[in-house]
Amino acid sequence: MTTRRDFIRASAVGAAATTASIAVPARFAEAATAAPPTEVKWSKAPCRFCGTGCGVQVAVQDNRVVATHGDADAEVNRGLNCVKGYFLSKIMYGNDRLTTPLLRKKGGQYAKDGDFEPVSWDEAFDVMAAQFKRVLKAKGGTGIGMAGSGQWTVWEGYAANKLMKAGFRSNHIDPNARHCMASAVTGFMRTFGMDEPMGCYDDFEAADAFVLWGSNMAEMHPILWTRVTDRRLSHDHVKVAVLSTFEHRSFDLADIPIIFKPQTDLAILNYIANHIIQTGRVNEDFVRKHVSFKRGNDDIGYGLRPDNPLELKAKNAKDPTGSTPIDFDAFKAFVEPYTLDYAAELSGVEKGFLKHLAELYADPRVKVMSLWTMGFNQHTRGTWANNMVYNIHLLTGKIATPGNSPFSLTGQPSACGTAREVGTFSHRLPADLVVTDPEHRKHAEEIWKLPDGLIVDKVGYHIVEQNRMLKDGKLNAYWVMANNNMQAGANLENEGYPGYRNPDNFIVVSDPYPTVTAQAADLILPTAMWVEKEGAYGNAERRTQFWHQLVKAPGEARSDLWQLMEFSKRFTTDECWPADLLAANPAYKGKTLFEVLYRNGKVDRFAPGEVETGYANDEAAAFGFYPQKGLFEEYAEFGRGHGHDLAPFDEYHKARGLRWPVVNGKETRWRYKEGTDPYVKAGTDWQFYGNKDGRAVIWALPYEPPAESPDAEYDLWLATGRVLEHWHSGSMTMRVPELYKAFPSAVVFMNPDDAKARGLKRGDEVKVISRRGEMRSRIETRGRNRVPTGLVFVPWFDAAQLINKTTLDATCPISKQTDFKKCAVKVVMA
Amino acid sequence: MRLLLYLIAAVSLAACGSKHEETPRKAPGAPVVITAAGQVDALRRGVPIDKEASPLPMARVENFDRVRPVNYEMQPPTIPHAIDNYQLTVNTNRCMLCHTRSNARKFQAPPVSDAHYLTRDGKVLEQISSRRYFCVQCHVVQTDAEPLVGNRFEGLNQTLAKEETP
Amino acid sequence: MVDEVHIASFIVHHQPSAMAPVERLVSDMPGAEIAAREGGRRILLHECDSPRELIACMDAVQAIAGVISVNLVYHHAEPRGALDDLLPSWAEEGTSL
Repeated sequence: MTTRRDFIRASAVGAAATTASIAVPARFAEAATAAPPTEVKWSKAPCRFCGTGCGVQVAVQDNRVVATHGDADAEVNRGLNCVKGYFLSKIMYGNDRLTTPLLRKKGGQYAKDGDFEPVSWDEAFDVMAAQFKRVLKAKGGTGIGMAGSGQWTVWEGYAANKLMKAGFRSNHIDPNARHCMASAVTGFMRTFGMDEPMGCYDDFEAADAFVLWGSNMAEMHPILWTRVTDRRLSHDHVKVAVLSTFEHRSFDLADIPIIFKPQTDLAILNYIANHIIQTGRVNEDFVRKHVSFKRGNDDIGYGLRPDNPLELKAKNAKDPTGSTPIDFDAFKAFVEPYTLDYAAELSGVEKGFLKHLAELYADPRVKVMSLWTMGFNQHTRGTWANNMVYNIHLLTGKIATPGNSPFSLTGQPSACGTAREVGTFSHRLPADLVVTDPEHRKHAEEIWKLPDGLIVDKVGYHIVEQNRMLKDGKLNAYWVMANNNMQAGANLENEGYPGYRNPDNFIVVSDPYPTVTAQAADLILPTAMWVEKEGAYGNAERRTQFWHQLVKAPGEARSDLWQLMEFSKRFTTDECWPADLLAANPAYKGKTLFEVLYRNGKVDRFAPGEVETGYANDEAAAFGFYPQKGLFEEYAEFGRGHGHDLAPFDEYHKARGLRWPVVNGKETRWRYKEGTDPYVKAGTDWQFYGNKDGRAVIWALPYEPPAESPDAEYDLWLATGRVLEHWHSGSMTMRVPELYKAFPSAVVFMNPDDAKARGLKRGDEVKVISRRGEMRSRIETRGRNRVPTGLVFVPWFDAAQLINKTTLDATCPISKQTDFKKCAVKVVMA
Repeated sequence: MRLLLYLIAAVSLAACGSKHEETPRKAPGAPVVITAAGQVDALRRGVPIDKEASPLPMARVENFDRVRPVNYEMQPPTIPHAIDNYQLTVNTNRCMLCHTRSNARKFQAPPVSDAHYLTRDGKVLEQISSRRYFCVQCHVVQTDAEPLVGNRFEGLNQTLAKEETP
Repeated sequence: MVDEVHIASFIVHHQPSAMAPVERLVSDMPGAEIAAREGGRRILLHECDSPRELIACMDAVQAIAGVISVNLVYHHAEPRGALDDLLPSWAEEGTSL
């Protein structure tokens, strides 16, 4: 029989043994396993799924997650989860979890046309390093690419950014967040000079009106939707406007339901600006003090390959970001043509609804919260749409105060915290710095203790371009981490798939599960997920949230962080950096990338013993230092004192997250506003300090049509998106039985009249066909999405129904974000 | 000549508004089944990425009205009946017709749990909190589709019930 | 004031020259033992009456020449009276939590 003393002593030894990677002697091991299974330990963590960033409590027993529930102490969700969150405990236990590296082989050797065989980590990295070195020798860093993720933890993104930009000297690192938030980012940068929302979730309990611009919060940000619902149903005066190209669940709460023709959201936005001006509701004082005006280049193309006729035709395809300063009167004249009649005609929306909507912005008594995600961002004029919604908040001064909130919602759990803030984009460095600015590069090199001139000054390939460059053979060694881009990227059959299977290219995919992206790869690396590693995410309201490692990853699966750091040991500076740079900085000669990037006296300065008692940390055990803390504290140097302040590392393990900038231990709820933002100079009231003159920019931008509209042959709009039960590509949720059974396969939501006109009935097998490819599916004429005639909606969570075979890889030319909501298809009986 | 007539007919059909025409149903093609070797993503059921095969049959919502077990106490029970055409909007909440504490017995439906009566600030209300209004954000139906990938999760309820194995 | 017993574990990194002195010191220290060994590392398990004694133990080991680091990994304080309680055999328990 085991006493409590024996059990506690065994736990103490076990914890130390895990940290030190020493085997536990039998006499202690027995006592530890004699623990009753009622010994359940609860720890906090953020949810693994969307950008809402709900807090959960995770129950662990015998190295297994046995339950989760919504964290009552988490500000974001106060105890609630959505159905996906309630099944978090199952996402790590799909039976086909990857547990060994898999390499395509023939006759015992790597062969691109071989079948996958299990190999050791050593062999996997041997082959991978050989391939990367082959490319480095032939082309240097410019032949190496990485597809990263808004699902990386903060330090994984930071370690990857260093490895690519400073190690391999390649700026071809871009996250899947490019498909998700890039337009929001360029929108922020052009209007405010700094990324990320100025408001926070507290705005939900303060607003008088909510306007959903193309977002379907009921299914995609359910917990935030509960806060909207709560506010709307307990206060009679609150109004909810929902705008989309088809009717979905969010319309169930709508007072002002608006279905508009695809792309005409741009015209509606300008109409509202015009309405505000014409009815004399401009907040003149605010505009005079805090706003400047610019007219942006128009006719900027569609981000397609440069030889595409649409690009050749576009006057400003080569200069999409160009602009000229103007004044208020010029802006007034610019939006004057966007009358109610014009907007109604173009969008197909009833005038009454449009006017009602415009009044929510114009009426100075109404505190209005605008909410958008992919409707605005996945848009060939996505940057413009973001700029234009800020226009109407700026004209009225309805910004950065409780309830007055243009709020860009985020899709992924850490598109903000990792991809954007850490800068894992092909043009970025941490804290909104960019590779093209020599001052910024120098600053990064200083913090990283690396030689002057190391970082390449050219913008690298973004993720859409990466697929094209793989196909063209310009990118030859490619590492995909924490994303499923073969399923997620547009125009799969013509660009993505041929790119991965190009015989000149070596593709590595790190994932917990075998996805279609893994299928298209040459080497698959088994990866730890969620609470199998110590992590940090940053949600849509700038809240950085930490969690501890709670269980061990299965088999030989290892975290992305371990993989990046371990792989870096295989390379020396001599192999990766130019000879003249090394000649000028001989102290760096002959060092491994691991030494110069991670054993640089900063990243390695915290001991494994600093990991909180009672929690394992496999990376600290492996490397002999606490890399998460070291990476975080080095990364935080970029932002502290510059408006991106992060609190000390240890604070985040204690708190239920903190919203940056965190100054003197206090988080910031409303940025740019005196009184709530410590960076705002006293007496200025509002200060948009991201811009040198402290002013936000109102942009004069026009309506322009989409890249591809329905025509005689391809007579339907195709909009893609998600459903509540599945998150993104479904690699996790489709492996949870209750979520799978709730919505097992993708379908083509079609209007019943459109179905009848094509001789189709609900359940029929059909082909969805575009100029680029086709996909087999089934018709759905009922259910949660009630589409108008002329449009079909297909969710993209189903690996067996790759709708991106049909989509067009047109992007916003400024943000490079793909428009997944508009292309032309036909649907026929299969 | 016949081809030209077909073309004219097809064009005129296409030119008319879809509301006015009903195309006669074509016979569906034979189902396409592909199972290739070396496919790692079980969710794609053995079909190579660059091929297309027939999708699974349309799944049917289970509608037997018996309460399903949960894996642990806090998990929201799945809905054991169809909810087609159940209106859940700002104007009306069909779920509450049967599932409120007062009506539950009459309709032999499980009443909503006490947790539903708490506000965001933890105050207890007499009626269900409006933050819980849209039931289907947490409670989902289940179809008869068989999961393609098994899951070896064991919940608190299971581990507590297990016998010790020596 | 609750009468508590403190149980803690440390990882000791040391050079070969320190191996014998560490073992000697620990064997002379009441409540302390080396729980596991591997190469230049030892897991030190200590049970004592106060955090002061834990720190004294840490300092004493750290002071030995050739000891590179002493890191605290796990620390639990338990009421003295509960220490000798037998853990219930969970096979006999019911299913309620």
